[in-house]
Amino acid sequence: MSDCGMYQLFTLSGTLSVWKMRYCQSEFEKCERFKRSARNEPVPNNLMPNGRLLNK
Amino acid sequence: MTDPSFWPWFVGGAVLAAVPILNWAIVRRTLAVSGRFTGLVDRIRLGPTEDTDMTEADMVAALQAMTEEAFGPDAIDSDLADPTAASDAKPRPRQDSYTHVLFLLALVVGGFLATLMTGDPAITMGLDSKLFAKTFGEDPAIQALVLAGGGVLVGFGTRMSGGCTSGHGLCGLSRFQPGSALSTASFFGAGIATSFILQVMW
Repeated sequence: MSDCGMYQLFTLSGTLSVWKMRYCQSEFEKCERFKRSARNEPVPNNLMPNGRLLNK
Repeated sequence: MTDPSFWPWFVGGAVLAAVPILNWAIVRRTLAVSGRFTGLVDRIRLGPTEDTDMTEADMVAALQAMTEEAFGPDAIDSDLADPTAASDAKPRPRQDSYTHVLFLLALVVGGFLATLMTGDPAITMGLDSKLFAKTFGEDPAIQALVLAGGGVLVGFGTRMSGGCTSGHGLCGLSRFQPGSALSTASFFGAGIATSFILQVMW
């Protein structure tokens, strides 16, 4: 978890902690980043836990 | 009797302790030798990950928007949102492949420098150990093959347990991680047992 770039972003604002609580600290097996990492697949920096890509 | 080619245990221990601390101070990462190697292999095997040109401010703004979209405006204002979670922490930059290569090369160079300090440097394909030679013979090719096979087994084990002597033994134990304690006990225990069995056999 400490190596996940998105996890660190979730600590930048209190309102973002909902992601951390929903995915990182509870149903982490549903996190798309976790799933890809477990399959040894590349994890895009802007991939959200729900599988969507974060864009401008 | 102490082997004069080894550093005193208290110097070795202090240096080993200093390495993960320095690593954390410089790159803000837990020391993980096998993790570095895995990262490098993955980078070669899988190629670079898809990066974005978004700044941190862009990311946070987009995150706020997606948070509201995914969980609704109520979720943000509800007790799910933890205002105390905010911090000044900055996301660490992704490390380039060259940092992994540099780190791994430094291990080899460091070992070579330590050998030079013994005053008897010699490049061999085997292991300078009487027990090793007794067990596997004097043929350098066989010795090299045995060491390569051992390296593969170590690689397999470290991937299976999620770390090696540096990650579990040095860093995990010092952070009181139960998994690291179990891993360290397993690989050191197996090593001591194997060494003991070989001593008895020969």
